[in-house]
Amino acid sequence: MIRHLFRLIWNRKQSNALLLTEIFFSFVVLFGVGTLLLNFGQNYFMPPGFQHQNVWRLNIAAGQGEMMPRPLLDEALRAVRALPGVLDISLGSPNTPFRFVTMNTDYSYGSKVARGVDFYDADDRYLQTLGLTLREGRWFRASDDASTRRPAVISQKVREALFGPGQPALGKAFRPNYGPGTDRHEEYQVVGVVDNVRTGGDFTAPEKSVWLRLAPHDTTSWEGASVLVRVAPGQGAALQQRIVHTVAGVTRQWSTQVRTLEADRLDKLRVTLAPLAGLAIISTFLIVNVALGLFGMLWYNISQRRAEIGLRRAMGATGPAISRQFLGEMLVLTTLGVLIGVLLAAQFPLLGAFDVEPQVYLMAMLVATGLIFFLAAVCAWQPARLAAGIQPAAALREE
Amino acid sequence: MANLLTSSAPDARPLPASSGPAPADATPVLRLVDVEKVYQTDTIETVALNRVNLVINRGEFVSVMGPSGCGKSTLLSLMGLLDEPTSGTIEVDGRAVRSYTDKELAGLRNLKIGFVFQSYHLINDLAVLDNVELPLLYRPGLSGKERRQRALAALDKVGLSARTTHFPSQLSGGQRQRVAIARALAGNPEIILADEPTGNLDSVMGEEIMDLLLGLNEREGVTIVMVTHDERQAMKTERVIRFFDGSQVG
Repeated sequence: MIRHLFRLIWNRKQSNALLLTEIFFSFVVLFGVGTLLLNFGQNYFMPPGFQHQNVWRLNIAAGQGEMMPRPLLDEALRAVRALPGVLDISLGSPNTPFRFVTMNTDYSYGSKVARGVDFYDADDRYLQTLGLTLREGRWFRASDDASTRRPAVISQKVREALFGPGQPALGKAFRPNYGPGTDRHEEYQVVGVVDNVRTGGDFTAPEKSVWLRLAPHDTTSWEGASVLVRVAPGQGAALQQRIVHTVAGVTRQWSTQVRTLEADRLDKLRVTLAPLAGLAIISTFLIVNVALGLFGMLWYNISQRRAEIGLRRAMGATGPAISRQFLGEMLVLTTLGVLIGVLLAAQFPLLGAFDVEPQVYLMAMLVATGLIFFLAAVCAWQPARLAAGIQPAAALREE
Repeated sequence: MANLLTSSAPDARPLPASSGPAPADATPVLRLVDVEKVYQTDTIETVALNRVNLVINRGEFVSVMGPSGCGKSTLLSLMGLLDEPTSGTIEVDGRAVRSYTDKELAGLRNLKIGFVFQSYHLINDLAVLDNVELPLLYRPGLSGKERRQRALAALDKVGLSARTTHFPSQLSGGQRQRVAIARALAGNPEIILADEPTGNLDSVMGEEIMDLLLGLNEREGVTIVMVTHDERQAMKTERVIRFFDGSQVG
């Protein structure tokens, strides 16, 4: 019977091509959406690598064209640190977690290159303020002022990319790739390794990250400073006001803004979820459309084949046998459509596309395959039942 | 019924040992007792068959004649167990079919009955050989090889062994009807029910098909019930049953 089904499907290849195409595209859509959702889901449950609760972002702006001398900035920061409720304070670059500001470049060690690495400027208190988890070595300290190379702390992913999995990184020097034609030959020395962080938001993957020690002279040309403030649990608007007043007490030339990292996280979440929700809605409509299409095509197919059904019944087929035949045909067609889809989908993990883990692609393939078979079975069930109920005498008379 | 479907091998009828004539014996293979068939719609009630009493004996070649709409095809559907009578009894081999389940009826159709239709009812997407194999697909216990051999043997009987890979659209009307007869023969049935088998054919092809059916009846003892409009061909059969307005008139 299986051979009979294959022969029937092959001989009807022209009319089956449309159904096959529909199944193939449904698989591709489900695979794409599945990969996205599974990837987001997997990221969501990963540890962020830092503790953003009770951390505020304090932005100090000197104004366009105005300088921000380090002594004045240090005085303001000392005053803020002295406020009751402030536990720690750290000066860094503007790409604080969850902000729509990124700084990245490539780094190399010998022939190995880590591409698209997020880099941050950070002072000696950054580790404690943001709650990073140190795995090896140490964070920056005052004695680093004397070092000949700029100290750097790297994330686990950068260590793997530059030095290889399990290889020691401490003490090694790597350099930024500024591209051809540059005369900058800086080198950074690894003093510590921290856990991977996900600063891009709840759904982003762990990033390759490098923290470079903030050089003391850097701020003289700054027009603004980004400061992270860790506060005691339960602090709110009153402390925010006091911070603003404290900075204003040092100099009235600067403006300040205080915002919680949690607020930044929610902003990022909204921006990420909006297109995701849109995509999910479009995908749902697409799948419903595909289901209706499959259902309609099968229904039409059966109405076109009433005489054949009558004939098969006359030849000795039972109602359930007719049902099984139509379900079987659908199953074979679905298998063919899914196989073509899997051939295409398998290229993504093989090529390492979009930096998504192969397991996510494989899981998405499994989910898409399962859903397609479920969809096909549900859509074929009612028409197949209808076919089983066709009275042979009536069907043969219609011819 | 269990015996009929399971213990008697895949064949309902033993293959003939010789090619000599096989006269009808008086064993009833089909019996219709007070059979009525009424088609009912919301507003109209149409009596297709009115109290029909009929016996078909093993090895007979019977033709059923009558004007269009007199109930001939309905009679054939009932005899072929494709439909149920509104009242009355149909017996196959002495047992009333009303007692059979749907599965048993399907088994009976497969084992005992071969159908030949006026419009051939071949599946256009299947080659000749696959069309002929069709009834054997629903017969449990037959291997693919056995099915193929039986289908080839049936095609050989109707003189179409050279056309096995052709599709119905590549054949003439006469050839298509031969394929339909081969399909009916492939299952080695006791009874062939033919609904105007020559109705769509010209006279020459009609004669060919008629000769084929007569040969099957005479040489292999197949019981044949044939609905026809053609008086000349009806006269070639052993018995003619006439219908008018749903009633048997002769």
